[in-house]
Amino acid sequence: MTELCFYFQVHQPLRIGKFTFFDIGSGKSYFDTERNKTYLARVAKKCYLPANKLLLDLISETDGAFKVNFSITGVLLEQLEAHFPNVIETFDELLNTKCCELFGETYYHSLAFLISEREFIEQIKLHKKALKSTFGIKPKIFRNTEAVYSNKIADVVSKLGFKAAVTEGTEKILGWRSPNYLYKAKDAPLVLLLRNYRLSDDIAFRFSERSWSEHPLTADKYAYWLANTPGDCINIFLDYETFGEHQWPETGIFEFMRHLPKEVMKHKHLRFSLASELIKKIKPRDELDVPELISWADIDRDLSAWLENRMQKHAFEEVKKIEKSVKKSKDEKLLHEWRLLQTSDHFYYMCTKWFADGDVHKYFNPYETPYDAYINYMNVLNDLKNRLSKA
Amino acid sequence: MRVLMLGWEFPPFKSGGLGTYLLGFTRELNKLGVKITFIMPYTGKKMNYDFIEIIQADGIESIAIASKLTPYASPTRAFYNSSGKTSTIASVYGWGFFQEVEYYNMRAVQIGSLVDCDLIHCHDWMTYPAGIALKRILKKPLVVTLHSTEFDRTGNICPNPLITSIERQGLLEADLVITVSNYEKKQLVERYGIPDEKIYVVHNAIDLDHYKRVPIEKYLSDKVVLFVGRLTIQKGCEFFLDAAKLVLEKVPNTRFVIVGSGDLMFNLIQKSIELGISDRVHFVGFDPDVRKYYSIADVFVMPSVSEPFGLTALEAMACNVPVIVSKQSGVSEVLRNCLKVDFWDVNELANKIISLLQYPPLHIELKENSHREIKRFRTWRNVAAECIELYKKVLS
Repeated sequence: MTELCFYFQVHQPLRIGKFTFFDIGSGKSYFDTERNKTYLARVAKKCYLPANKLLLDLISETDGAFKVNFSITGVLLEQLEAHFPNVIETFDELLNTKCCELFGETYYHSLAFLISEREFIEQIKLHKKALKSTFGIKPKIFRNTEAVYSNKIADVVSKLGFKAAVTEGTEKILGWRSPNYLYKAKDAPLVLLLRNYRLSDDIAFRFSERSWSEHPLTADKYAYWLANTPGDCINIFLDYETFGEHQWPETGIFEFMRHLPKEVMKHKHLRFSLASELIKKIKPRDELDVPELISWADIDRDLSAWLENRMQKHAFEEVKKIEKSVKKSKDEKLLHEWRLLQTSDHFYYMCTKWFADGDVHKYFNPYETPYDAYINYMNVLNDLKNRLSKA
Repeated sequence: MRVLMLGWEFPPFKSGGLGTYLLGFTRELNKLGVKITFIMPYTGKKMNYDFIEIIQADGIESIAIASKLTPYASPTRAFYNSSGKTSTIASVYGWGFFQEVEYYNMRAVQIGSLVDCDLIHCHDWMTYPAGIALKRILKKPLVVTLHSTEFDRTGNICPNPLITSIERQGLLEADLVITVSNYEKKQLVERYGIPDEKIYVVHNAIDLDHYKRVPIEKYLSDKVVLFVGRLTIQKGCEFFLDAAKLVLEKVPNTRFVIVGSGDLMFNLIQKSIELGISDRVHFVGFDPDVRKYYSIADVFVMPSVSEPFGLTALEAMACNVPVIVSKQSGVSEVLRNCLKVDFWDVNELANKIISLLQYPPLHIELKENSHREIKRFRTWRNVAAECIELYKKVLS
């Protein structure tokens, strides 16, 4: 039997509005509510609502043979609750089928692990609390922001009660080994589910690429590939926005998904799985030693998309530096906003790595250049520091 | 291939970007096998180059009058000359200006009609009448390059109808039009109704051998924000001053250096006094070698109201200075590693200047990335090669 684990990451950041040097100290709010709402309305309409409906149909059509996993960030849940509670209802319907599982992560979709262990743990707990109150569930599987992972992270999250974590199945940690087996963390009681990036990116990136020799990708062809992939489990991890946003409806992405379960089930040895079922059914084959942080981003599979150039490092250091004083202030609003500034997207917008080629990082990026992203961020952070000094 | 070229300036006689352009462009054109005969107004300066034959249209009586022949010295600018007081057209240039243009064109036709060439290539409106006449006399195709329009130069405030009609006629008569950016191409289509398919964009380039930092002592520790350009409506220097005022409220130890001269010099000095920042704003006048200013600058600003290209932005980048350019410019469509603002958005311009002064990581990152970008930028060789392709197109 080969278990198929489909996992979708669901996130939209709270983007910062235009904030100039002259706004510092003015009391102007940081977040561009209208713009965020507009983006969210678009994603809800183009992706969340139609995709949730499709998945729900698939679960009922297959009598629960089709299963799917999600993680939804706290930042997004907050925005959905405020503006689009109907989207939350559709996620709730999916969860009620018992064919859907939610993973835990940092509430703010942050790199809090690099702020401090304490902050990391607090944000994971906040997210747990949010899942409990919104959906009444307790997550067993952990997914860190952008699948960032290391031995140390394994140690921390296993102590928080998580049974498994997901990360990237990169050669950097696997060497000659295959991502299609379960692994065990080094020195921590934690199972690792590794993303099969080739099969995942066939959908995420190559699906609509006409120059790709396999274009067009059909459900029967993809099911055939899955069936011919050796291993205990195949982990297909995608951004949920792949459906309808990264891949527009015109590409046929929804039709592909509509036919996939049926095509998969033609192969008797393939079975859809929830991550928590999967780790009960199969045993880890080996141990993975990951001393350095890895991620699922770009081709480098490291943190360079967020923390490489001087602007990114400086901005992150500045936000990190004030942890103690923010917490000492006992100002809940300030603490929340400080954490919202940790959302990894803000640092992603400052990335100059691909800027020259005008690449992927464009998606819903409110800035014209990484420089503008940094300027705006630093102005906001200076305003926050100014408030802090008066608190 | 032999080209009869008409223009109004050539180094060492120059007042703006065209001279820089022509030097780099014709030198490379010649290396690629094009023989150029260049007719320009009489300057009184000796010009001996081995890659171009320069004929200065003789017979204009005084050098002083001849040197007024730049498209920027049109009578309309006189209206904005002195603050408050109405200055008459005649009091500044006299009606002689257009007579001078006419005379130059007449002489250019006389001289040009004896030149053996495959095509005629004119730069900017002052040479268009001669270009049109020569096209008919020599029965050779006419290529015109438009480096700026009257609308650009006046910031679209009272463009001189005589000049716009000459520009329109030249563009219509030309067999092929070259301009320096998509921004400018759009202007030609929208303002002059020139057919889109006749206009080709050839972006400008930079001579990196010339534009680099020069050793110069900087005695003051204050940060320097630099403006380089003619002091006319087009270049937007007033927005630079408005932004300076805002910047100085937040970062007092900053100096603003303005290199260039022009009709608005007096108004701008007056304005800096009224803003109460005249002790921080330095007008240094026109200087043929701007490298020393780039070499001490921390930020370069090009706030043009309407800029067909904007070579100074490339020069500043080549000299390792972070650049802020107006979005109303051709150069902003080819540069990635620079900051861009709408010229009228003084608050945003100030925000960006302050950020560059206050956030060192931004300054370093932008400086390094823009320098890397400029190292890989187009050269005059590219410009010349693209133009030769267009020559071939028009000849076939």
